[in-house]
Amino acid sequence: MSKHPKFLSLLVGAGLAAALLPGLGCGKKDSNVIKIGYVGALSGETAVWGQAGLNGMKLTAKEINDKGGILGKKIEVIGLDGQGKPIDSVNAFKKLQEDVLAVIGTNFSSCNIPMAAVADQAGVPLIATAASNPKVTVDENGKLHPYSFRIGFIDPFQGQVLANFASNELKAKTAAIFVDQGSDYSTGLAAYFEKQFLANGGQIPIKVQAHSGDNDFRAQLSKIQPLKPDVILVPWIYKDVALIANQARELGIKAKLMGGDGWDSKELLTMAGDSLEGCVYTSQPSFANPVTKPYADAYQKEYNLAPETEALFGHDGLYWIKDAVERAGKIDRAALRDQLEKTTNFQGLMGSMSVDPATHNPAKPASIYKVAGKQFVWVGDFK
Amino acid sequence: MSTYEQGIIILIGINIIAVLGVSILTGFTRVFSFGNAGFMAIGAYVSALLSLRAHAPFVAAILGGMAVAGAISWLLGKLTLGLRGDYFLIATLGFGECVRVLFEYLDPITGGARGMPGIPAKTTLPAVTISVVLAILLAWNFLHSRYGRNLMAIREQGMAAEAVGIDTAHYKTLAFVVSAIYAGWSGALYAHYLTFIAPNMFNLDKSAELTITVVIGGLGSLTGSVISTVLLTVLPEVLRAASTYRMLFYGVAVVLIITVRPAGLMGYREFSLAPLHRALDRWRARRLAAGTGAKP
Amino acid sequence: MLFQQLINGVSIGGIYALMATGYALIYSLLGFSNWAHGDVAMVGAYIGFLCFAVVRLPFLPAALVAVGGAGLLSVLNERVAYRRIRRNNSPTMFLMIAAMGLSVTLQNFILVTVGPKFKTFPTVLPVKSVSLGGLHIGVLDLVSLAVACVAICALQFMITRTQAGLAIKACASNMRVSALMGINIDRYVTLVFFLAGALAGVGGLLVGLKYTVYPLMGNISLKAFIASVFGGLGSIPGAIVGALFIGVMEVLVSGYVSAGLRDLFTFGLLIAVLLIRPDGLFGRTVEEKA
Repeated sequence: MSKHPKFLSLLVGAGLAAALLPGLGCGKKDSNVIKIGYVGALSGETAVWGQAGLNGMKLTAKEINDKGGILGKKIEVIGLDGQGKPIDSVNAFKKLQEDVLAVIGTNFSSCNIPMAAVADQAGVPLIATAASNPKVTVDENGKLHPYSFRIGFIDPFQGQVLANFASNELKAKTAAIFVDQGSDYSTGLAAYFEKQFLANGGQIPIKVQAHSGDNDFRAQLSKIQPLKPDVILVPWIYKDVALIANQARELGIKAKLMGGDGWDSKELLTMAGDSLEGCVYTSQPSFANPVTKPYADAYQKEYNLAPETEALFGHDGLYWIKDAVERAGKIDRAALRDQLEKTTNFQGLMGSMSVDPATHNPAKPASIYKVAGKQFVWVGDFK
Repeated sequence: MSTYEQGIIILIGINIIAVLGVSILTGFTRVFSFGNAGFMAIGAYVSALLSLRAHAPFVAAILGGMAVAGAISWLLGKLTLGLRGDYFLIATLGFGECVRVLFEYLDPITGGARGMPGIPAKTTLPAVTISVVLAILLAWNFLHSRYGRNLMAIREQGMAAEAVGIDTAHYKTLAFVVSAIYAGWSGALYAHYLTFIAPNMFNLDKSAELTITVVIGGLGSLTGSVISTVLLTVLPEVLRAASTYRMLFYGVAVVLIITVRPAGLMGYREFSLAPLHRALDRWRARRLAAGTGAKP
Repeated sequence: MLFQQLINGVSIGGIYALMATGYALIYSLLGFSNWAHGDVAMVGAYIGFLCFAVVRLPFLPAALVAVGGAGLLSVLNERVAYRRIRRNNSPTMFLMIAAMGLSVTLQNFILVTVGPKFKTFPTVLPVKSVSLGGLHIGVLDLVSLAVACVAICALQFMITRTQAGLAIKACASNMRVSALMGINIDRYVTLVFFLAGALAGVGGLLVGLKYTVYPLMGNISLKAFIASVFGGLGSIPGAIVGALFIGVMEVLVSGYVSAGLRDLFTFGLLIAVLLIRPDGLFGRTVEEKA
């Protein structure tokens, strides 16, 4: 054995890394093209959303380019796979940050929270799509992340809207809450629902929890069943909602279920359309809104797939950047950031939006959708 | 060097430290454990709490994480190392999952499933480089000491080792604790790099990944572990386009290696200049002979 | 509510038992934990789905193809990977590593070919339940419990009453001596893997019918593994008892204590049992493998 193997092994390691790395970062600067990045889950369990977002962005980029681009320059969309995981999303962002004007993505707060810190350091505007945890734009000390923005609303707002809808429209007096304790989205939304519902005079007889990844929720549902609440809040991702709904009906639970934008996928109808008849959820103004039809048709034609809401995020995200850059008058990250912050009444397919400069959270309505006859039916927009 | 490239090197370093721990445990003592992600989590959370709540300096936070991981592993080892291979494996697996579940449950302290953001970003490239070099040096010295030789004796012929008077239980516990300390070290660095940790980042997949990395590098070779860590950290970045195929490739690679070349990349060998020396000697000898012969 | 929870627990436990039996079979013969077992079940579920929902075969033929397919896949795993490792006389742990590799390969093969979306079976049996005095038992649960019972009894019958079963027991007891006695080890190993795979296929199909079909559904085998360890690795009755116990216990802990700590209880109990009885409840004492 050699005398200094440890240093040599380190050298080998570093050498290998250095040798492979030049292949990683590119960066040819073509100043006639504006590069905009997208980070989302392009593989893995939630790829259906990430892929929709990227597809939507690319379709929109083509549309904008056909009309002359932004300030005369063409847009190029670069999409990288964050796999829905924090470290991979951060890596994807770091890979993009040298070359792009801004990055759109992701739809997971767990990814955007660390990405926001990196965005601030790099000075590259980051626009989250559906990530709804307040900490994505404002850190836990109350300080604003200057380069972190979002298009979607935040969990406190969703929870509130749902609670008000339950009290006022559904006339519910009692609500059970069933959260996914492994999800910040789920627990956050439920906390705000609870606050508002209680403030409206409602009662919450029971709160249960389970973990996504489980298949069987009958233990918890059996606890809810005898209490016969008017509604049950189920703020989970659609695949789990389907299982919960089917099992609830199996156990004889007749209450209406309610949820947030995690419900928002056509798969939900395929998996549990019957069990969810009459149930409602909040989401971004989405495809049930007739103004989105031309876009949905174009998407269907281009990709031969039905679009998901995330595609609308891609669309509005690009148009928002275009709007802000045109207001700034130049292609510059800092200027873009300033204009994003100053946005008032930007009209996208997802409704009109104004940004609160203190928190970067958009003031926009939430839409409520109902499941009726195996379709999503738009009920209305609520503030 | 761009921040992206720096980030990758930092990640390589962090992974190397965790893998070294598993290498000592599995490669050199042949004890299989699926709980090391749990010790990484402990290191990450303890160090993060020390940094955030107690405003501890970086080194103190890391040492704190390592110490707690080591202490808990000692307890766990005492309880479970007497179990046979598969049973021990399940016990460590269970431990890893329990750690994750516990961190999710202890919401007020750990932030629960929402995770703990805002950890100061103290893991810089110099910090990682120092850590990695230190980790490799310590591991090397440990393995080439009396302790290491005993571990390898246990690996090869456990019963014979007992017969010669080596206290198997004691040394297995030692290896287990060392591997947990390394995992804690790695976790602490990770927390202060990503600035955000959540319980589901340290799950069974991560533990399995660590073991697979050691297997691919070669059970019984530190160099192999280092090389395979570098490869398996860099490859996903290089093969970004084919990321859906990456995991498939992983699985096939593991099956191939374990059936065809179980010794992995490096087998029992370490990186050594000896072959080079020998080649040089042969070349010199030939030059000498040729020179002598050719001399008129 | 207690009885309802018990029913929930037994129906979950029944499925765990199917998977655990296959696990125990393989362990009793080759002494290793087949991590790829759950993924064989998963592929079985996908085959069933493809035959039934896509090719539109009637349900029973589709199910048979799925179960057979799973069995064949299991045999393929053995031929491709495990047999070679046995031939190399490598330590038994290598078999487990190979199983891990196969598991990752199978999962990602499905992810890459069929895709990550969750698939639901078109309704075979209605999502109705039978009501007995306030208790709700799903029709599907009754059927799956029945199927699990039949399958396990059939296996038990085969092992205790047939010539092949005797040969398998001999191999499990001592492979070398059995070979010396003229038993064709390879043939019986293949048979065992086929049976285990078929059982897994049934389990996978039932899970797919009751819940959904997705690439990571094989993770349910972790519970089966725990059940097997709990009952004593290598013991089929132990695996069944373990599975039922874990199914019921999970439901009770989720219902009465906290769903958050459910896994903590499961593993804690496991470790406690192992400390008292290191070989599980019904485990056999075998020497430590090299």
